[in-house]
Amino acid sequence: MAKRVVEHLFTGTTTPYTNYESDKTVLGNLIRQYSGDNPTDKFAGPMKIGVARPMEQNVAVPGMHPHVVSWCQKSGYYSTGTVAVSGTAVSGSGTDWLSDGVPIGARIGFGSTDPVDITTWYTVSTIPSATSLTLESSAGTISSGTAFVIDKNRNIDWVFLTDNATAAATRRTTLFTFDRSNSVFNWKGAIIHTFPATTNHTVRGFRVSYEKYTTGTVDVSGATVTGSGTTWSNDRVFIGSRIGFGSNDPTQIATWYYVNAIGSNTSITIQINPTASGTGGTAANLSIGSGTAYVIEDLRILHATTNATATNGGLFMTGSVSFDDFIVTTGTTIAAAVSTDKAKAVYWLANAVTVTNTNACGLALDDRDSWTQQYVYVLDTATVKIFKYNFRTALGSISSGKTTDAFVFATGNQAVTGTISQSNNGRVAILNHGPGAGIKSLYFVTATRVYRAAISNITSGSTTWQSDAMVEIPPGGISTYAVSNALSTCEISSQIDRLIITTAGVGRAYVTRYNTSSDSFDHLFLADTRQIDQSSADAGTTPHVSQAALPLSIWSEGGLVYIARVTTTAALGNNLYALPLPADWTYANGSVKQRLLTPELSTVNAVKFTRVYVNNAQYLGEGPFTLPTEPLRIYYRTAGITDDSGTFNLVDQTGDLTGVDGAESIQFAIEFRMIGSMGIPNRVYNLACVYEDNTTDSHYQPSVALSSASSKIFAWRFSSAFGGTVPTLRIRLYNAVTGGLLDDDTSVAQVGTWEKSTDGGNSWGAYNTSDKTNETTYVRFTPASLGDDIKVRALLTQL
Amino acid sequence: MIHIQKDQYVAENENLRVATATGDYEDVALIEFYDIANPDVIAGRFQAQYIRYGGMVYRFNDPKELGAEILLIDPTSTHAAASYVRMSNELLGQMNGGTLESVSLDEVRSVEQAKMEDAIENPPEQAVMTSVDPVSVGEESSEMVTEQGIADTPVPENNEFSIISDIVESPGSVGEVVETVTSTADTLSEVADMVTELVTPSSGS
Repeated sequence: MAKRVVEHLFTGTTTPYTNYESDKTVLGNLIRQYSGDNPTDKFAGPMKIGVARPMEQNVAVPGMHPHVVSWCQKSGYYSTGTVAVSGTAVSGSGTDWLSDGVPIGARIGFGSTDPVDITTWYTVSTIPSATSLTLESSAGTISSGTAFVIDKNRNIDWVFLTDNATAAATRRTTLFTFDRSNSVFNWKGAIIHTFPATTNHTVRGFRVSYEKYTTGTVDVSGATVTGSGTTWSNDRVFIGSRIGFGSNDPTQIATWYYVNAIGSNTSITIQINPTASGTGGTAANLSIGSGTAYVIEDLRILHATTNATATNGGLFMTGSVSFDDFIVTTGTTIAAAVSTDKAKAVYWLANAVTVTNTNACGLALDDRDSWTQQYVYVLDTATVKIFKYNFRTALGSISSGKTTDAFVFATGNQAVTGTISQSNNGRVAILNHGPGAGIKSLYFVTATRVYRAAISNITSGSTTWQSDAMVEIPPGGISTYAVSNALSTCEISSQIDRLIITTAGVGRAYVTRYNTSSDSFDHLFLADTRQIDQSSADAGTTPHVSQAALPLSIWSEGGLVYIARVTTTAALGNNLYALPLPADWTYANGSVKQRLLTPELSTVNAVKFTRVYVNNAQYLGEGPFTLPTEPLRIYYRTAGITDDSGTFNLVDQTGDLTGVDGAESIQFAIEFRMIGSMGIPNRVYNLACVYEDNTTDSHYQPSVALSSASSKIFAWRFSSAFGGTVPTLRIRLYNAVTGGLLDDDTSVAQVGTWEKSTDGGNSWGAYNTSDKTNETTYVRFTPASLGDDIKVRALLTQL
Repeated sequence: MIHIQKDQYVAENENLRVATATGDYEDVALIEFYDIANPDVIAGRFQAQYIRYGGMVYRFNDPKELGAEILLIDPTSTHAAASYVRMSNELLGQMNGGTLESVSLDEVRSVEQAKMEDAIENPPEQAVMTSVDPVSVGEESSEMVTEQGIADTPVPENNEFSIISDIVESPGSVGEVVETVTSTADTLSEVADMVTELVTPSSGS
């Protein structure tokens, strides 16, 4: 057997795990393959960490409590039909781009349906119909009947942050977009909320509600939109909402308009530009035929605040703003409401004429039940109680922007152990494990515990609304890590069905299941390096999430975890991070695959595998700033590769594959640690697999001098040591002309004669399994019987 | 304090006019406004400082930065942050020029108070828009606004008041700032220390 190597570089074509193809590199949901000019730019691994710096934007707002809306999550390819191109205009035949969900910003290539063949990509700028689209740049002239392929991959999140500046009568909301394909944040801008209560507010809870209204169809004449099957007034469409025509999918809308009046269930008017009041813009002048699809974006922002004048705190709703209100230079100022419902304004959703929900701890958003019902739960420190509001209900009696119409009820007080956190505390979710399995519940934290309250238990006046609680017990128990006694907030990662719990600056976070059996938490997460990652930081540093002795606020969306360090100054690192926490190896083979798979690697004639070697980033950064990446681990399989049915087997840290039988191909899977001290994703550049094929074993060399055709003796020099006991050897004699097998013997069976010499063939003794003695160690084999006048090929291999 | 005139236009919002009665208001007082297309309906409320200066008042986290920015476009501003910076600058100038005395704070306060009173008695030209965009408003609305006397409102020579942006908190009022200082300063060195503090205030946010 000769040693052979097959290697794989992560530079080839890829496919998502959801569209498994064995001849491509397969990427889990949060795994990416990157390229670049330098060799170290070409790697695969968990998504790079994204970093934004709110205090370094032109409206410098210290941001906290991220709330993320997954606005565009598209992937895959579309190549049905053919096209003709004239400049930037693409005409399709047999195409249906709208129904397939092709987003604006997707890439299209011409001449093939296989993306591998495309050398020049063009960006889609508009999609007027199922058979026409336009490009951002000219593609020249391409004749009709040409094949094409659209790469739909476009993944944009909207990341909202609230204002952590010194308490004031106004609060600002800032917005970044995050592109999951390159882990880049882009600053969109800010809006200013003018609260109806003019004394100083401190934000305790912050949530964003984003919904798409697409019921019915429309036609448009001038600025008047007439609906068919619509119920805009009843469904409480707000002035200021963004509306687009031609699709129900906002990612396919190229030109947006803004609702400036709601006349009835079937009539609204629109303007072409967003304005602070939602009115007074330039009237639209459109002509769109009946039966046209449309989409209205309902974007509302909710704040739970405490106030310098206690009774001026409580719940506030801003509705409806649009993405385009977030202006880079200054921000749109949203007025305080007065007495009109459904205005673009800030409403005070009070629980009473004199508010008693004065010590808000956070704001938990429930699912939307209808266009007139969606509940939020505001925890209050009043030892402890919950105020329930329906922020979608009609606001019939509004005075100076204040209304009690949205208030549903409050529970009674029920004591908790530990001080309840007032940092965006409370999250409604359904976990699929533990005592809350399958039960929609409100989770919240005190300094020492995580509490659960089943939503069904949250009833008016109830003093037994809490379901159960989980005590903080660090992984390994309190003799391994001291308790923090500083739990700050909890978030749910639905992708891995786990709680993410942050602490108030004590240098750790947790990821864990919820249990009430005093089991320790599952994972410790993050360490405090005190690195603060300002843009002017040394270029040798590697941005990563470090607490810097500050609380962390957190949101999980589509697997990604967004973390904002809670501080008011750039000097302390008021940064926003996005990191692919669920790509951790604990969950990599879960319902959402987070592994990196090589393509099927050919190992033709392999009779034995030896080892796998992986080249990866052991550290990132330069000079004194190097930081370790999180580790990885390797799996292999040699069966069930084509259809992804085979089971992967873990390889130990030495890469040992010597126990693996030979196979025609092999595939490797790589899992990554992400829930670790640094949380810095590893990077795999390439890997290589060593195996032995069915030629002469690499430890032996055929010896002509000590072989004898006349005596029918076949000899080999023992050229390299095994480093231990020689494994069982196998000798096969083939008819060199016909390929037929003449003899097949092993060093254990010894049907023929096996001998060994350690003096260059001067003397021969019985064969033994001792390793190579010296450079004159030989073995020879004499078959029990072998015919005359045959040209023989002798093959020595391991069994 | 901000002087607000009924029917003055809201900075950065050509379609909006003040509905609240003319008067002097706290910087953060909520002022009602209406849309010129629907003048009988109060559409919402903005802070007085926003009505006067636009979104600029929300852009800064530090009152000193805001005050300096306001003074660039409105040297006689009665906004608390502007007064704060104006007094700081005056005291700093005296300190650097060797003329700072224990009575300086009282003098600066008196001068500032006089400026404020003068500004209130003789309100500066407001950023009032007298022409109405016929495209966005329509002829009927234009006539209506004229009837309400907008055309008689003093016309600014330029639009430099309609600057854009955002703050979080300004000091309470000029009087409060000065009162704090004058009530505790007994010696010249103490005055100097307080001037330094005034000039380099801790971050307001």
